[in-house]
Amino acid sequence: MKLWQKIYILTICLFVILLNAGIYLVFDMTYRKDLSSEQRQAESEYHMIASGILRNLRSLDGQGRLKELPIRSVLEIHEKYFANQEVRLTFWKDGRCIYPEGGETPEPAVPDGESRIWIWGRGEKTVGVQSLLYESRGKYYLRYEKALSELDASWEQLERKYLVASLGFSLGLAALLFVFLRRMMKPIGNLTQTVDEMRLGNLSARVGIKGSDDISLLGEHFNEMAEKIQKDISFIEGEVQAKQELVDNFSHELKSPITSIYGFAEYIQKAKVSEQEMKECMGFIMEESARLLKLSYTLLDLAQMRGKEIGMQRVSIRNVYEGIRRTLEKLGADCGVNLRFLCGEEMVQGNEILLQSLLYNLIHNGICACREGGMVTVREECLRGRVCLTVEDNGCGMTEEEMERITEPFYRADQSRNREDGRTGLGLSLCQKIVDLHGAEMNFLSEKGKGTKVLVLFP
Amino acid sequence: MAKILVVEDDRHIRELIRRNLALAGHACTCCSDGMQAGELVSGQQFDLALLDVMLPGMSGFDLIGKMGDVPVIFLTAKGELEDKLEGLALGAEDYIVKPFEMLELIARVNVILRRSRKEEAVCIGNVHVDLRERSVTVGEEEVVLTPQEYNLLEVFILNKNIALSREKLLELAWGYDYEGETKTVDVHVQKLRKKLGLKGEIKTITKLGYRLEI
Repeated sequence: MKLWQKIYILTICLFVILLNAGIYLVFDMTYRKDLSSEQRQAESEYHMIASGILRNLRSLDGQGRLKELPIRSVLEIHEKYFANQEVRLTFWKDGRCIYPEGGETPEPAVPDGESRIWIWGRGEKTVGVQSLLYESRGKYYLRYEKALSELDASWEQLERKYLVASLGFSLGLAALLFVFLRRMMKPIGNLTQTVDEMRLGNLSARVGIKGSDDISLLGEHFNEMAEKIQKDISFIEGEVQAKQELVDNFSHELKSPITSIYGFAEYIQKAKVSEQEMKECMGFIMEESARLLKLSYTLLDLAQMRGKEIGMQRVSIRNVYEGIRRTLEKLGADCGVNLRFLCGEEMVQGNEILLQSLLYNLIHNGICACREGGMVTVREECLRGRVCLTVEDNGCGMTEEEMERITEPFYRADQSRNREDGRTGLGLSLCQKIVDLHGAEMNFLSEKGKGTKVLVLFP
Repeated sequence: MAKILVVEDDRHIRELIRRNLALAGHACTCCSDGMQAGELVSGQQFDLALLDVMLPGMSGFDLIGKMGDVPVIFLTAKGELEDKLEGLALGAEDYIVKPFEMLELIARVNVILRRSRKEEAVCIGNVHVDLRERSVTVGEEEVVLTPQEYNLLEVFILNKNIALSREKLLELAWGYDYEGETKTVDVHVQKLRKKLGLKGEIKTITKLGYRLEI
């Protein structure tokens, strides 16, 4: 059973029970009050009648006419006075009924000197008073009875009216409650539906929120939660994809040279090759072996740097550069790219060999990005007390998307020229690692077609 | 001879494939990226395309859509089952994982080529072999070969210009489960040379085996 149905049934039941119980209590109290007022009225009427009859009896007794006939006429007169009020009088002497003539002595008898009020059962309710009225050569009793049929009839009518009204009220409440509950529970229905959608894999499902009660608060929190879950899942998916790409790239990088080496060796073995062709194939095999060797060294470097403390000392960037100047100048000359080194005598805290590797890779990248006649500039500046090393080229540049991925292992921004220059695709990953180990920051500024600037900011 | 398009971004592997296929008598057109390959396909008719999957610019899986009705073999370092299934589901005829063996490459290429267009006849000097009829004539005269001799000759023709070891020849011409001596190969080769006068064409390669040179 749904929550709203439970609430609905419970509310209706409680309402009907409480309403009827309350009204019943009120009715009961009022009815009792009515009865007691009837009683009081009957008592006072009785006393009035009794004193009138007593006066007449005394005067009859004084005249010596205390006989049945005159007494009867006295009572008749009194009863007639109340004729339209369903009052009945009974008068008897020592167990013999005098009025009404031939009537029976009523029960229960009342002890002498007392008066009684009694009420018979519902339907024919009667209020009665009885007492010993007069004593003279025998005991005279008077009894007054009044039927309460008028009171009962009016109560019955009231009860019928109430029953109809109560039924009407209950039905009205049931209808209104139904409408309100459905409306109030609608957000819960929406929430359930959304949860269901998410369960089936639609992570972008959200709840529409209206108002500010606790259900909409729940919906709001649910949406926040869903947002977070979606974000986390897409993050994890991205990570998995990146990992897969890395594995793919790695196996590609590794298998390509092996394919070449194996293939050319097999070719020499099995095909009819001339001296010239043999030399060519040997050349290919050696180039590919060198590439494989370089890849393994770089990977080794990366692996060794992982989680390892490195020896640091004060080194000057000029010294670092001097160590690799020859190689780089030769490389620059081969590609027709000019190198400029504009450095002072700034010192940084670092590992000279690693810094050489960093600078070499950055400058090498710069040279490779340039066309013939290009220029790579290395600068050293002081920025707010920190040493900043910049390597700037006026080569092909990168798009923003390429810049984001540039430090990923095996990522190559310039795909069309890949691998032919014997680079591994790990250079900038290595640089990033070295920069991290030195507690420095590396940033790229680039514009497609205009050039790239790499900033390394030392702590 | 078939015209084969090779799309491979690694210069050396490209060269390797070209040389290997040239041995089998196929002409290769090589290029290094998907864009270029698309242009080549629209301009010329190819019998087969060998595509690398991880290509700059456009992956081989994307490129296969541009190949039209040219049969495609993927040649890639991605050796996972999922990748193979994806490649084959895209309509490739075959999927070769790097590093591959020369014989394997040529055999697979030949299978695809045979499927689309059977090579009918081959001439070795004045020896004429009809591959459909399984008949051999020297000059005008028909020569009768035993079934085993013919099988061996066919293996040589399908792997022309490639040295085949005796073990490989046993495997290819006699079948995997043949438990014979490698001497059997020598005997049959001698018979072929004698019957067809192919002393110069079927060469003995020292420490390896034999090679049919055309």
